[in-house]
Amino acid sequence: MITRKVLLWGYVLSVGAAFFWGSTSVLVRYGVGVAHLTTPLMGALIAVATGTAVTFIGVCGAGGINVAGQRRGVVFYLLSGVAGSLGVLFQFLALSLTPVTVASPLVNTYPLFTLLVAHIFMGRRERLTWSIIIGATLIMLGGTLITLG
Amino acid sequence: MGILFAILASLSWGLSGILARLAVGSIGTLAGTFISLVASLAVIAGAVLVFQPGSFLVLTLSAVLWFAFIGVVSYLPGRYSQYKGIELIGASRAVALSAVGPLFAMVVAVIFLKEAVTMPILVGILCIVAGAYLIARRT
Repeated sequence: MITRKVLLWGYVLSVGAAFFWGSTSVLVRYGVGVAHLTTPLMGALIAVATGTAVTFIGVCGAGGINVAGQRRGVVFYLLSGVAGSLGVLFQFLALSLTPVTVASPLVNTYPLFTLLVAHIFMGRRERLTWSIIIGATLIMLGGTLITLG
Repeated sequence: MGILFAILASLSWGLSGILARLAVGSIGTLAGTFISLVASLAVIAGAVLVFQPGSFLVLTLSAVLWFAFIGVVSYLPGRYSQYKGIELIGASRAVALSAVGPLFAMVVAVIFLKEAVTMPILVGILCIVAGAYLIARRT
């Protein structure tokens, strides 16, 4: 049973993630201009390397990682990281080959893909309602309007 | 070709949320974030070697410091929050809510970069707020 408190924390953290992702794009734009970085991929590499190093310190401080019997979790976290960074690379390639007016609406459809796959393969754990479908579509539309606006 | 890459980007991000849903709860979220970042590091390092192999030579100290700062204040908390959110409310809601990023990007850009707010942006804000409300409301 998911309590109201758990739900609230889930919402806060998810919107918090959005805040960090959203701020990243502005910080990168600012950095490319001010720090004269002409290679955005290199910037991403520095950022991820630093984030990884700091997380490693945090993990060590929290007692390390016990992966015994947790192979499934390790594999899926690895795959999630690969998929997330491939998304960044594909977006980078898409924007270098196609106008942002074409690429942005397509890239922003990813929540709908998550909904679809979650519903098909995890229907029991991921309850899909019309509120969630319409809400995700509105967020996708809004994100595209802001990106193009 | 650009359209194909845009679709692949969407599929990759969508899949990342699903894979995280399958991973959460197994090991701690911070440890999972670390494992996921290691994988991302390998992919992006490979991409730099393939697409921009000479980029190490043109790095400035200010660029290194700035992007290191972004890694600490943005990449780490962003991914941790995303995974924890998925653990607490599921991938469907968490991924949809974390897609409101352009709203914050716009707010930060208006405040710090003095960018203008246009009519499409205002409509976009309304859509995002309405969408987030629909997702968060208890049904």
